[in-house]
Amino acid sequence: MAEADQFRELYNACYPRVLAYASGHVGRQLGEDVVSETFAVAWRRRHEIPVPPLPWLLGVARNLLRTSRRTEIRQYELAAATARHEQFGEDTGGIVTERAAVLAALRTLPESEQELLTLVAWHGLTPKEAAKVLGCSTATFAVRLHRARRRLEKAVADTQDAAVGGRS
Amino acid sequence: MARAKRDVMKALADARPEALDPERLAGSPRQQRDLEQIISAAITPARPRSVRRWLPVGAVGAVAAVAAGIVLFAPTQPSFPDVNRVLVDAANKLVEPGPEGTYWETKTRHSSTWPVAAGDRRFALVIEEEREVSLGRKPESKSRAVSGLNAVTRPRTLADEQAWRAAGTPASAQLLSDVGVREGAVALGQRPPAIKPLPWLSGREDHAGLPKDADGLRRHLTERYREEAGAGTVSDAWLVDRARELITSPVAKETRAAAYEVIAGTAGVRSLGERADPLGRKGNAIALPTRRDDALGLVEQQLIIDPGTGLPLASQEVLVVPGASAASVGLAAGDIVRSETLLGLGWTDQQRDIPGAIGPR
Repeated sequence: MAEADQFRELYNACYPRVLAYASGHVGRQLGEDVVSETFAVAWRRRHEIPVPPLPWLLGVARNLLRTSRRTEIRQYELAAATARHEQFGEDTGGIVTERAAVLAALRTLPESEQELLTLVAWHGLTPKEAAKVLGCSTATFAVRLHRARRRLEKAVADTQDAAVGGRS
Repeated sequence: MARAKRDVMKALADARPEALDPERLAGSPRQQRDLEQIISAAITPARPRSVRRWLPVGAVGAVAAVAAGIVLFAPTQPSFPDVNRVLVDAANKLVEPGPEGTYWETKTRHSSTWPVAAGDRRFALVIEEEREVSLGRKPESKSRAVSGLNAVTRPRTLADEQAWRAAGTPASAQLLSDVGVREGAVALGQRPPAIKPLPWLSGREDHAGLPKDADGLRRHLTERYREEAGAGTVSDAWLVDRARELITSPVAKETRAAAYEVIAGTAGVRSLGERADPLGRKGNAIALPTRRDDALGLVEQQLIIDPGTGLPLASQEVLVVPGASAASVGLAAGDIVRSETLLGLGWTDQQRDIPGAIGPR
């Protein structure tokens, strides 16, 4: 059972981070289903798992999320909306804190840019690892991250200005 | 108002919702439960990486890219025949379907498991039936599908029957789903056969003109998917089901062999060794990638192939990780929750009379 033990170690080490990633998209409940499916795939394809395993696992989870989005549109959208509500809160009017401003600004960006930024900032991946999750080259990722980051900076400034303006 | 300029990535990192903090997500009961189910359901070792003899290099690009790096688990020796070998052998065994008759007929037996609720009781039902599909060789012949032959819906096990009795032996029960309320109930007991008219053999697509190579067939099926679904990416499960249909259709031997190649080209397909089908007939089993089912959880599709004729004896779905509904009625990893068993196929000149059938004759 050496393989099973090794897999247990991998599972317990990576589970919380894969769940954080999936929950970020569809909330905890559906996220747990996606993670369960991700590791079932990982067990079946355990001879293909590279080192470090996390980007590979997140790539599998990402594919499953995309498939789920295509095939179970209503369920996915509902879960995604719930996840957004949980993470961002309902109303961002009257923003005062930097945290709220950043989250509100993030929400104004296209989903693809939100994903780039959160892979690095929330899920702690290096650009090289994040590029593997998205299936692009590190150089491409760096360019896209740079662009997304600048847009986020601008959106944060706009959000804060709007909040300040709204209060005066 | 002066604002201190701060690294936006740092600000974003600090703004991570608490719900996404991995430390808060570690160690749930579900985490351990899923792990044990995943490992215990995998009775068979995964197929080690191997060169797919049938496929152009491009088709295995994703696997090859990973294979080039370091892997966590050293590949083990295969205990079962290589999946490609199984499928190549099956393709080679296929014979031309013989002299043509008026109808191409396939007879199949279907069984499916459904978690249900009645009153405050939950239990599993099995829906069983046989189907006979006869497709005319010419447009004027009346093609039809007969379903509901020897059909019965019953509690799955003795425990399920006891739960049904405890609920007051209701005539129907509410279907359960893991994704909100599922509309609809299922009636227990027997039901009469039903007849549905179908397009003739080449009414949906020109059987004789189907591609005879795997790439061409995959392209053809993908286009058909787009026509049927409108858009989106074709799923492996859909491709495999269409390929399986073709293998039991009166199309050129080369097309049926190409259909096996399409199955072999599915990412994650692997060999399970010898298994018995629901009728106890032994064959070479292969497993296809898992998929999620709203009523049941994570399921794995398996094909059992007759080494003698190259025909798929049965397709069955095995529970890998039960969903909440399935678990609530006692379904467990390893349970066969769906099956379609081939009873017979071939040319025939007449359609038998189906007494008491609903629908056009």
